[in-house]
Amino acid sequence: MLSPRGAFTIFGGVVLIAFGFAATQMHIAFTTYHALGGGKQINVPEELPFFLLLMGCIMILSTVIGIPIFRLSADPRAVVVTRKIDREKVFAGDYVFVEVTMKNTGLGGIDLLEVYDAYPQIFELALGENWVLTKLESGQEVSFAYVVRALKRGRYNLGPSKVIVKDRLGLFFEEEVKEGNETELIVYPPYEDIAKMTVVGKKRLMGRAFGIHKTRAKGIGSEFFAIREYVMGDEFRRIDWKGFARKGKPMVRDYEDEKSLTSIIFLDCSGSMGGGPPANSKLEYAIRAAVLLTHLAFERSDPVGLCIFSDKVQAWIKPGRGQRKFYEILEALAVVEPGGGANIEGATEFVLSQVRKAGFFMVISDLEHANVEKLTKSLKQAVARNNNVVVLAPFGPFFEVKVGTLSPVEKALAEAVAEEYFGERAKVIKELQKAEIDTISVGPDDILSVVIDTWIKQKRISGA
Amino acid sequence: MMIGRGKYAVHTLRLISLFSFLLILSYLLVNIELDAFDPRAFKNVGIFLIALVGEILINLSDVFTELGGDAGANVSKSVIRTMIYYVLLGGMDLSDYNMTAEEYISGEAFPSPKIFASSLGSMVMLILLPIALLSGLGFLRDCNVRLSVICFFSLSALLAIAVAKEKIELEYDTTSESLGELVTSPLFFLGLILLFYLEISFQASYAYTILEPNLKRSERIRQHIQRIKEFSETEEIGPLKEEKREETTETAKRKSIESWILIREQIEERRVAKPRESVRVNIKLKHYLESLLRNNPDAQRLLSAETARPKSGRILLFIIPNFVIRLSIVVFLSWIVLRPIVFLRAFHAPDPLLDSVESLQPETTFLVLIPLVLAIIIFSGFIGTIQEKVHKNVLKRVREEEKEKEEIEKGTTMVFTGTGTAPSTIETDGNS
Repeated sequence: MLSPRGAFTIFGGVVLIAFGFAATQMHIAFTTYHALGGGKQINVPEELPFFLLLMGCIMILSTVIGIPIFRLSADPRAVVVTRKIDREKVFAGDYVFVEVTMKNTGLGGIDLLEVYDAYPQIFELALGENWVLTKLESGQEVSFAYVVRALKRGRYNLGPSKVIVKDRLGLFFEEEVKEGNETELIVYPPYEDIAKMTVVGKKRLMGRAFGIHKTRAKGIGSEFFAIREYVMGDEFRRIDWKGFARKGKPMVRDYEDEKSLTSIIFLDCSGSMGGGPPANSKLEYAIRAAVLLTHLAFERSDPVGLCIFSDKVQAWIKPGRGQRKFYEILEALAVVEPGGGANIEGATEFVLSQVRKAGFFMVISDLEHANVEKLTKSLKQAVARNNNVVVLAPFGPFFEVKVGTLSPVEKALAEAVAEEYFGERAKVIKELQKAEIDTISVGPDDILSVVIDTWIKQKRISGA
Repeated sequence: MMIGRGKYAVHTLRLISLFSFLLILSYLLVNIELDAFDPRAFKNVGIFLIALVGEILINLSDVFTELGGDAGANVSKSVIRTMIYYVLLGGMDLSDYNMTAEEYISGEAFPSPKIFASSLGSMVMLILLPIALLSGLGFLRDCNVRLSVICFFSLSALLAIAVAKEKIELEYDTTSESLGELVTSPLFFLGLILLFYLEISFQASYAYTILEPNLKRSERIRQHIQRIKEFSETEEIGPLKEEKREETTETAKRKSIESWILIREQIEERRVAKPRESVRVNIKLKHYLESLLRNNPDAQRLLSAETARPKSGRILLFIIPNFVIRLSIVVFLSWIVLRPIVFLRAFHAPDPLLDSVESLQPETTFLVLIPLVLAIIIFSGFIGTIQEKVHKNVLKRVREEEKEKEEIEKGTTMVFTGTGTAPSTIETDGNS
């Protein structure tokens, strides 16, 4: 409670009082010594001990009388801190406006209030400051705000806030961490890859990415698509009579072709997927790939499902379409953390028990420590149910080794390790190829383009 | 220009502290006899210190010669002393200290506490004076409390030494029990002015701490926002370069296994390419800020924490009465503590205690000071307990109110799908 300044003032007072007493004793000692005939008289003026005592007492008292006043006015518990954010869910790289409000519910005013609002270390303070220094009267409410940039996907907490209350002279202080006033923020994987798709869209217009456009055949099939106005040539049996009555003009019901391609993404979140720099690990790229594939599919109204697995299935989202499903998938991807082993077989078995037939299975896994026999067997089952299976395998050395920091010897060693990895990877690829399963080794540079190419290819194959 | 505004509380308090500082300093300079600041004190203290070292060496040599049974010890002592006097010191004016060189050399006059203390006192005074001056003026620059504390202690020490050296006349009847006499005595008055200076400097520092960072912050944020607003895209961010890199990667992968190193190097290169990234980030921030300021008109005020900035006049209004009351209480309590007999009489202390000689001794201050301090601390604890109970009830009520408010807000705005909670990037980019 006593600040260093307060402690110093009291200490200074005690020292002055001690000097005052010492001066008194010296005066007595010198006088006695002289009276006994020892040496010359050394005079210590009476005013000196008095002055020292006076200053000492003044310093101690001026500090101590502040305690009841401080107690009466300053109580950090009386400061209620609330936080508001402009959105609870953002994409990685987006900004969040954080508004912090402090209210003094105490009976006395607070002379000096310091509030520090904590934000995750991985975030970047983009604008403003996350602290404030103010004076708060009883019942008064003040606010400040700052903007942070959420750099990495995940579930984060903004807060808690630390409240420090000081008196005007800085002699006393009280502090309290407002535990439990955190605000949750979900950061989705980065949106940049999807934004880049606009470029792909332009290419499509120019005919450079032939095949990526929709092939859905509207008008035939059995699944309801939409109601529209009747045009000459439409079949009479398609007229929606209720709609006709409601609108006063003939409306027809459109049905869509069942040829839409249902995709299921298998995302491996085992510990080995966490290899590489935290913001650019295999898992991060795998998540970006999953987001991109989901977006590609949803843009064409194709259903997408997601299975996140490690030793066991961590999350399962049934195939579906629409914006709600998109955010459901993003939310699941936002909170994925690497850990445990990879049980692709178990995940495949689980998904096959949930979905009778999908169409396209994209397995994103580094295949490290994979049991080739079991893996092939389980993926074969998926193929046997008329599913096209593609394994997208991030290749460890591409993600994990920082070439720039390696010495020539380390480089040579890294090459040797990479060759070893390639050897193992080649064996797995060979086995999977026998079962007609495509396996593509990818690096951080090409993983996203491979996803697009694979998607286009699957659309062509399925004829959807 | 903006920073200068709203700081008159700081300037006023600075002026008052300057005034009190100059008052003490001028009082001391006028009333302390000039010979107290004798510059020869440096030389004399130096000589005494060197002579002290010489004496120690001589005594040590005595011990060794005694151990060795050397009969010529006294001769060597005189020789060393002569050497100290003539060779090391080059002579000094001993007339000031009423002694002869012979007396000094034979060791009869040395060490003389009075002479040493007098020179030391003058030397310390000469050192303290510029320290007090510099720290007192330095405080005015940025209201650094450390400097005011240094100044306070320097001035107090200067005064104490002057009193000890009897170079200043501050008459005060130390047996007087009157509060009026105490307050009007020059000694107490000086002490009071010193305390006044210390307190006012603390208050100025408070006003500076609470106003200056907020003003600077407002200005900084304003400039930052302006810079972001004026930021323009100097480089088009397109996929051209990325595409080229992808092609290179593909080629490298096809060629050989070892080429992964090349790919990694390219990734490293991309990481180094910061300006491109910063342009992108700045543009994004600019768009975000524009949208923020459009949707929330208070955003800029909140970012610059203008709402949290206290009013300068209000601060001054609070400081001055509080300061006067504080100072009055301190004076009153000091009187009680320094003249405990008055206090003891009021509490009907036994006559033997009141009439004893001991009651006039300075130690009696403890008889009142310690219980008084303890009583204040216990009283504060009592206040704290009451406060806690009151706050518990208030907080409970506030939390309930907030909960209700939150529930109402959630009920009206929390929709998961659609654009309700969708990240704004989708809305701005129009890609969803």
